Amino acid sequence: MGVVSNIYLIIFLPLVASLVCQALPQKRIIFWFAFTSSVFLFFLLLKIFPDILIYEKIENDFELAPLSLALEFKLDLSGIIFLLLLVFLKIVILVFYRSDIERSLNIKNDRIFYSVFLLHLFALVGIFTSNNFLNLLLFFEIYAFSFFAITSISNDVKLLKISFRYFCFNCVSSLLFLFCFFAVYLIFGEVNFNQISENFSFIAANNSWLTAIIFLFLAAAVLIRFFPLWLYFDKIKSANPIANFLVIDSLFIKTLIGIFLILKFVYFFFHGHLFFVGFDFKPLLIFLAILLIFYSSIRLYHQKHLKLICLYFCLNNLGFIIAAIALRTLESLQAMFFYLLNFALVNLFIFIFATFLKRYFSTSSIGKLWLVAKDNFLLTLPLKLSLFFVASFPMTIMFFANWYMAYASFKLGFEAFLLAALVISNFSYAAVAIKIVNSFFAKQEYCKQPAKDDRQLLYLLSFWFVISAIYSTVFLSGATNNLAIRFASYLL
Amino acid sequence: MITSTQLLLLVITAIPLLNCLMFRFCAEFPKLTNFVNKIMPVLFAANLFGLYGSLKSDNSYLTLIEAMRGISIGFFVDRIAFGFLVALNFFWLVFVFYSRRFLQISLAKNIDDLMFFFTLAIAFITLIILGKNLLSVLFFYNCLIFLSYFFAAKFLHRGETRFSRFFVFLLYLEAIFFFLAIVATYKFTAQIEFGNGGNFGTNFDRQKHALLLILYLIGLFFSVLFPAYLFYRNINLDTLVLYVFFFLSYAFVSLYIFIKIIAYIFGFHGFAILIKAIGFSVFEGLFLFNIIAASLFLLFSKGIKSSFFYLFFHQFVICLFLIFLVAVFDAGKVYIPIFSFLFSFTLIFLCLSNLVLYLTKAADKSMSGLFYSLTITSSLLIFAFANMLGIAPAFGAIEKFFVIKIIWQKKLLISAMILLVNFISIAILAWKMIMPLFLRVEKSIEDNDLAKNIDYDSSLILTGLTVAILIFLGLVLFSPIINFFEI
Repeated sequence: MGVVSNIYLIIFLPLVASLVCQALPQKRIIFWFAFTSSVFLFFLLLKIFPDILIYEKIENDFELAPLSLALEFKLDLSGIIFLLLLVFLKIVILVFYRSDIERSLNIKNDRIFYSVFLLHLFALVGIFTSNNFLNLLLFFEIYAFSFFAITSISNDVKLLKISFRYFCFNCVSSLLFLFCFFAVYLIFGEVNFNQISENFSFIAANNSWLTAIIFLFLAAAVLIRFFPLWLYFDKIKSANPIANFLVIDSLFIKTLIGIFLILKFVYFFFHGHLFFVGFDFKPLLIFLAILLIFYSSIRLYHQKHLKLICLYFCLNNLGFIIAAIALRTLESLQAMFFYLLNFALVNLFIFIFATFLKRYFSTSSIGKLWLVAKDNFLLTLPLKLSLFFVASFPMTIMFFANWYMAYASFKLGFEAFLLAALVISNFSYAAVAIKIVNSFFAKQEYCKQPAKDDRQLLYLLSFWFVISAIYSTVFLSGATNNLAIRFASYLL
Repeated sequence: MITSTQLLLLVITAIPLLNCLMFRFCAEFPKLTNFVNKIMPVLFAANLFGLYGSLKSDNSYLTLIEAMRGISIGFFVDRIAFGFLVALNFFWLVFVFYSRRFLQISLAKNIDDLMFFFTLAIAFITLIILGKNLLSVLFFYNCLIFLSYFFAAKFLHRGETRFSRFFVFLLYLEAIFFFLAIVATYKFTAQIEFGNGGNFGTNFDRQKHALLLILYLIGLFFSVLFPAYLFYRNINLDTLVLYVFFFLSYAFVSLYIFIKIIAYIFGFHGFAILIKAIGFSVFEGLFLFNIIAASLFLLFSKGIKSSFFYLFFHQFVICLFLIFLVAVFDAGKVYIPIFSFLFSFTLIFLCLSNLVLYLTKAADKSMSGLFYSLTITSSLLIFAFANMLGIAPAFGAIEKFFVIKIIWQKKLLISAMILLVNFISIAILAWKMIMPLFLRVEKSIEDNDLAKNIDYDSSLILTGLTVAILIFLGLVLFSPIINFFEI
């Protein structure tokens, strides 16, 4: 099969799998079907990855094809990297939450859950592959629909209330996107991103205010829809598996989509023109980034709950990602690549470990880590191994991120303030790492250990799966750095 | 294909790590661990002997992981690394033989734990010394800092733990600045490898050089140049803990890294030009403030342990100052103050530990008249102080001679003041400690026997005597030492 056929398969596989799920009779089969489909999708992405590395982007010829959902796609280097990360993330959470989800759902809801899960995956793939404003809007709505469908099967009133608030924000975002869509069509006479991008600098010069308004509306729409972290703050410590599932979606998946869209709009849609030439947003963005980094670092230093630690780690990484976008140099974008990796791998690992802790010991406090360490050597070993990454030891993901960010910030100018941000955030990482190790040495009191069950095996598998992926970045650091350079060069 | 030198490098890094593993997995066989603990430094020495022959070969490096050009983790040995490895090996031997006996007599319970942490520290120090570039050094330095934290948490009492934790946080802050310094070095010179002798070469850029120097100074010596002890009272660290935690894990390592940075990043010539361009008086002022602060705390300290603690900071600051002075005006002799500090402090540590051991076990807790029962220890202590003052026929005298020569020739008034403050404070401390030893006070038979046991114990005394002999030999052998490092 050729690359183009593979991409079609990547797009439609989750949709077909989602429909097949509805017809499957048994619980066990449904899970394995969803799992196999996701893994197959992941390997398909890996298969076409070398081709995309060579050609940088693969797209259909829109001159020959009419405006359609099936044909107008573009999978570029940044898109496939994000997709690989997200599908990996999806597989991990599917395995990790399997037993919790199945225990809390009956056969009917179980089928709905996995079907919606695959639909969610379909929407994700669609967002990352669409090269057309209309298609993008369509996939946004499918994504939102599947998210709310999962929310609806939880029986948590508070979660439903939060999700209703998010639904309202989602509606606002959809309206803003729709407005942008019409505006773009009116100005450019096109909805294809490539066409818009090619004509942008010429047309934008004549319609500077309108393009500025489109930019502001798009920014607001992306922020409202894809960065609702604060909405789910209340539920982050919840033991409800559906709530955890949704928190992961809000914290990791939505944020990653949001970052991808920002990159897409800033670098390809607006082509950096409006952002860096028309209006110089650089100082404002760096200021915002520094605020976010300082806030998260200070909160990290005082935080004792693993889930909240994970949240502040995410905010911290997000701050540096904003700074990297603002700096717009090869090194800063390389740094962004590593912050993204850290965001999707290390932070995810901390979160699922915290969920496990909460599930078994009713707390995600790091002060109670010795409880797990006592009888579960294999379960705690991945956390111990991850400490090198938390403390940003050399050759780890965070180290390279900091390295490139420091490299990009060594300038006479306000960029130099990012060096102070690096110092304070690294200091807080070290404090967290020390706190975690301290808890392993804490004085142990008597505490009833929970009975071991089959779920522990799934947790164990998930932990080792993620930690292996994290460590592979060290052992393949040469390849990872090369990929970072390719990613940065592509964006520039 | 791995060469014999690369194999030797691997073996040398593996020996202390193997020793640690033995502690973990053979803890139930104390005789075996004791034997292995003593044989490992000897094995290490034998391998060092083998490595000596390979110093000039092109294969004296080994890369473990390479992320991109110049960003790698690996090992490399040159004359500076070799010299420091020999010194480390010597301190390892001395500590192993001394501390085990010391802890046995003081009936300590956590001998194996302490030895485990010590060996792990030795392993990381070895890895730092053999680091092939600044990144490798940073990696193992970070490991050492984390180890220091747990060492402090495990072996120190509450009051001391608070200070030590604060100190470790300062060390971590240092490590972050060290990281920034490495990034800046990479940005300015496009490489961070050791082995090219002054990456800046002849392209002197005052601003870039000065920025780098500031970052490296904060990255290596912030904990000592920012006198954290000013905020704490009555710090009474155990002498063994202080030796491992502060002396070996911090002073020894940071001095080594600094020398490597001078040699390979700035180049001795470039360093001298830079310091002169910034103004040597700026550094003199900084050191004068620190030496006065350390001297005041040293002179007002109460008890042997407390004095030993402030003496460490005092001597470390002086050593650092002398490195600056000698590196700028007579670079060839820069290793004299370093080795003088390392050996004289070790001798002081051994003597004071003997005194502490006696005082903890004896019924009479006074030092009065101890010279008559702890004769060898007292004599060694007098020798150590005299060496520190530069008046004994020892290595310290040579060091002071060269330093005074530079100060005299260059007419450095503030440096002369620093040296004078150092001399006066050490002299007063020596007087405070040595004078009571000669008082004629009757001791009980039990106390006398205890003193004799300590003074004639082979492990406790032979280690001290060996260090003293080496310090004495330094007077004769200083010229080959200088020639060995070939600046």
